[in-house]
Amino acid sequence: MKRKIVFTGGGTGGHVTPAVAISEGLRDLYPDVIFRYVGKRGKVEERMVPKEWSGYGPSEKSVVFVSTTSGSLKSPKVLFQLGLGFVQATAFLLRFRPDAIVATGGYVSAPIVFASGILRKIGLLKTKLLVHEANAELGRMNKAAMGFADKIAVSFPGTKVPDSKKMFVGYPVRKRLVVQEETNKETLRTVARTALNIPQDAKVVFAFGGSQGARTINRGMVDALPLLLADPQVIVLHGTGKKMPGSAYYGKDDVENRLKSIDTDGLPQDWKERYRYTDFIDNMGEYYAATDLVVCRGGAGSLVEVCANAIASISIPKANLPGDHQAVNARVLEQLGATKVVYERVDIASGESVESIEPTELSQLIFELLADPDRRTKMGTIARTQYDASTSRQCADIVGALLGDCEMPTSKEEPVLAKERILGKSDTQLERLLNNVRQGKEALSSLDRQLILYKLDGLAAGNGLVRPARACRMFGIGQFTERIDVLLNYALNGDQSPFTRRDACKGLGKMGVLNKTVVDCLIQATNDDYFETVNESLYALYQLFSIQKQSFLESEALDIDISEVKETATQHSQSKEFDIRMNALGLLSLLCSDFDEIRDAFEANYFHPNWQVRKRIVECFAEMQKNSKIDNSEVEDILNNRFLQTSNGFETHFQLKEEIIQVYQQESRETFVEDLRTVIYSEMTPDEKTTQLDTLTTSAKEKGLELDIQEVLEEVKDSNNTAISKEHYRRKVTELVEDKRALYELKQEILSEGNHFEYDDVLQTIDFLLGDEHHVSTTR
Amino acid sequence: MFLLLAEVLSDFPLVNAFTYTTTRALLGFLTSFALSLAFGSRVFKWLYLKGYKDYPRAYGQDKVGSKKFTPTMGGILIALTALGSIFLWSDLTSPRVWIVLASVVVFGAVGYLDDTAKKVARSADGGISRLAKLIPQTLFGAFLGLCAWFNWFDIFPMVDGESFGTAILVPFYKAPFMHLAGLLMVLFGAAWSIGISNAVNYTDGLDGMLSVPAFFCFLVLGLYAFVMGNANISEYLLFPFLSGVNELSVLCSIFMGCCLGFLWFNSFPADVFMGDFGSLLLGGVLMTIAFLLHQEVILLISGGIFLFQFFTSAIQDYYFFKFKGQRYFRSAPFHEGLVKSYKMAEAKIVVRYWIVSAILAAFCLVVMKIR
Repeated sequence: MKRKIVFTGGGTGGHVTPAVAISEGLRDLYPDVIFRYVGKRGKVEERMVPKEWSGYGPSEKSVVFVSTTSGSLKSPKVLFQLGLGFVQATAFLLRFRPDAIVATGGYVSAPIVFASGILRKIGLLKTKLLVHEANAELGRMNKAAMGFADKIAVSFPGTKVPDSKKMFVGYPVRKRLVVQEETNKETLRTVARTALNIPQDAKVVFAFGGSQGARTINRGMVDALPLLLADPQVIVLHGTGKKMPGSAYYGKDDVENRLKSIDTDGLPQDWKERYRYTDFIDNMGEYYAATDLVVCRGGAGSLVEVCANAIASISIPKANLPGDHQAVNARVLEQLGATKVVYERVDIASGESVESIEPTELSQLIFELLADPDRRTKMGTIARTQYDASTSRQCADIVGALLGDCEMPTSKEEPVLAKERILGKSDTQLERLLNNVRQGKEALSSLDRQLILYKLDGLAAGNGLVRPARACRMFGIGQFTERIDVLLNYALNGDQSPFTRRDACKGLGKMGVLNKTVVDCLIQATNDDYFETVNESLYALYQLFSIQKQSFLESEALDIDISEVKETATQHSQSKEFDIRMNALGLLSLLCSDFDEIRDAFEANYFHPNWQVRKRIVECFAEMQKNSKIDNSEVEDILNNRFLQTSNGFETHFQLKEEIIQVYQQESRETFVEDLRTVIYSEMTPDEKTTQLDTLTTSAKEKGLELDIQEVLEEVKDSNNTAISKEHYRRKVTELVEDKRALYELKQEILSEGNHFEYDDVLQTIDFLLGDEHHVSTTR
Repeated sequence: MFLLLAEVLSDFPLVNAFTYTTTRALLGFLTSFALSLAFGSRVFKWLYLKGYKDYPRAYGQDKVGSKKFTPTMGGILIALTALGSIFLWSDLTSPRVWIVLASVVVFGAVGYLDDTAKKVARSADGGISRLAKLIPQTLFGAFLGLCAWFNWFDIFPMVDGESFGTAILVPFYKAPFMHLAGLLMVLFGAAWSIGISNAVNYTDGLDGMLSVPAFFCFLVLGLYAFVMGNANISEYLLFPFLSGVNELSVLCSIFMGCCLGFLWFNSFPADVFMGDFGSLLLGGVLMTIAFLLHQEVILLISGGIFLFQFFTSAIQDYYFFKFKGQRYFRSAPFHEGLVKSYKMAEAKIVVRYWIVSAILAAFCLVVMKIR
């Protein structure tokens, strides 16, 4: 019986090539198989698939077209097109009755995948479905198809797929691109270099950005040229990318324009010999063989080719893609040790979102790798292990096994990778992470910060109403002071959406940088048409001045004109919007030196109809009282005689719910104490204990358990073991190393305990830390 | 049922009283109210155990968040008590009653699907799509329009030689203000259905905020139905006389009883929310009764709260897209802003909405005489 198999997936070449590769494997398995490709008219698959399948039987009609489109499912146009496609796909499936479907992702595969899933559910079809994911992160369509799929083949280790369906196979490569493992790499290189007219002892860097070319790589290479060619041995090969129909970008023109902008006269005499660019390379094999180091994008296809040729590489993943899939691909290989990732910087301050890369950074990295042949060889060897020529056959075997024609191949062993914290996360998740970091619940490494910045730049440069605003807010929460220019620009930029202006002000407040530029910017932002922007700018000023109270007293040193801020605040204390008033009043009370200065602004609000304004006034009074800016008697007089005390709002407390939360916490609190006890009594080294205790406390905090560690330890201590309090004191000592007075107090506390002989070693440590200063004053 | 019984037993004294519309209206009101009280807590317990609980939205709703897990889909209580009382007290031979019952079923089913989808998704964002709601609403409205156009079931008879089915009545005008001919009536029916049921849906946001305005709307429509179905009074007040339309006043008073019975449990702080089941159902029934009486304008006035809520949402949406993400109101629908930004006490907002709807209802009743 002839097997009938349908392929689908497309929109871009990245989805079509794996499908074609798998089809070659299936042809080996079933010599007389019948194929159909379901795609969208006018996309890559229309041209590519008949060409690839041309050698095998009648190729006309091998591609079937359905209506489909990408975009939000909420739009009726998209729904209609998909619905039409769904009907077409259903009709096609019922007529053709395939045995199996191989879907490689992309919106093009949506109609077939859903139609087959539903037909199977109602029992009209017994087709098997294999989903293949080329990237390290599941695409949107493949995520949706997960429920229907019988097996999901993944190309990268660490892809998040349920284990029952997951098959780690690798990236299937078309036969004519398969690279045999060469033992005599050296001879190949000699031949290739002769053919390309490159001296044998040269250091060759090969940069390319896929068939279309990549702007970042093209421009980055040209910018780095003066630095790279300074080394007389370096030769740069550059594939700029050919002109694609329907694409405005042409790499070669861009490179030529860019070359004019750099100082070509400053380059070495022979630079035209040593920098060779071309728009299309048809002998990729020779280029790979001749090369010492590759600079490429992070697409799965490019990376796998580089891996197959066992070359060390630098990858510059494209920013701002759905799920950051290029960056995740590159990161996976980097973690294995096969490549080095450089993150492109999205240039937002200029208002233009042109991705760019620092020439110095790039050239430095290139030189570093070129200078170390051993490291390059090692990277190449690891890369080669990631490449498996039998992948397409393996995928075919999975299909065969699903149809019951052969044994299910075993999934390859996956290397264990560190969990990705930043890449592939949604904006909301990132914001939560940054908030946690700000509250000290989590910590970020410098690489994490770099990755976050990489994501945020992409967000900030994006268009739409919400994305740049989100980015502005997160710059502030994460205190990325290096992006303060962006915030200053966005806060006053009338072209940005009001939400962006608002959140730029918010970000400035959270960033906590107080200087003249920021204050001037915020003051100017208070003239905004949109009330929320005014509101946030006033609040940002309040935050900045209140956090840095000390420096604001020396504001003259910062050259900030406090009177101007005060004037703005006074003006806004009579605003139409109640929340602007609230913030203006708060700012005034913070900045004034005496209540008399701001009496008028306050008096006008004693009877404000919104109770929240009046509440703010009372809070201001309390604050000013503390700083003795106002007399107690005066406050009393105002509040009792001239101030409207009634309120039309209150906070409801559902006492039952509060009790329920208490009970929840009680339970987890008891388990926490129990865990603590086991750790402390266990026979571990103190260091291990400390790490264990730390993890316990963090996890308890994550659960939202409100804990006073001291109190909990007291509880544990009650079970009459000094080991616990010893542990506690030790930890306390390490915390208080710097604070001598506190150490002294701690010593007194220990001595006051009955059995203080047990803590001799702790006391000795304290004594050592205190040194000679036993007499530290205990008064504040 | 009691009507049929009374006709059979018409020889006995006092039994005849059951045939009067007014008696049945009063008894229907009391029955539905009593049924609500009797079965309320049982229904809510059942709902809660079935998992019909209120889940907060993904964004916002700080204050309402503390009402998490309140049983929802309490509209099922309204539907059950109404069906019971209608079965007991209304004239089951009247086609008008059956059309109203059909609206209960259609809109109740849409609401049920929506609430169940939310239950399954465990999120208030997980309801059925807008389109899935619009289709049954449109179809039912179009059905009403066809009834009016072709005088199906003989519920839109000729009045003074003119078709009543295509007429639009407006306060202060004795004669029909205008006639919507043919297909226009069908389109109008569909638009009317979509508009009102969604507007009522928007109003359901705070405890007791929908049941009382709906109560007043039923009161007004009930009185109009009584007037238009009574030969003497309709002649005096210069209304078109429609024989048998006063049966709708029994239905209205039954729904008044349901609303009050539901408010018993739903008043702040709520034991139960009505969910989309309740809000769509009330909207559907209100718009059906108003359409059968062709007193659409009166419903627009007495249900001014609904319109207000609807338009604040619409303006907010329009403004947001027109001005690249700028808010006109603090939040929409309007009451959200009052709760979240102005931090006004919920009970106060709700009572103010009640006051406004009472004034609007009073206006509608006064207008009855001024023609």
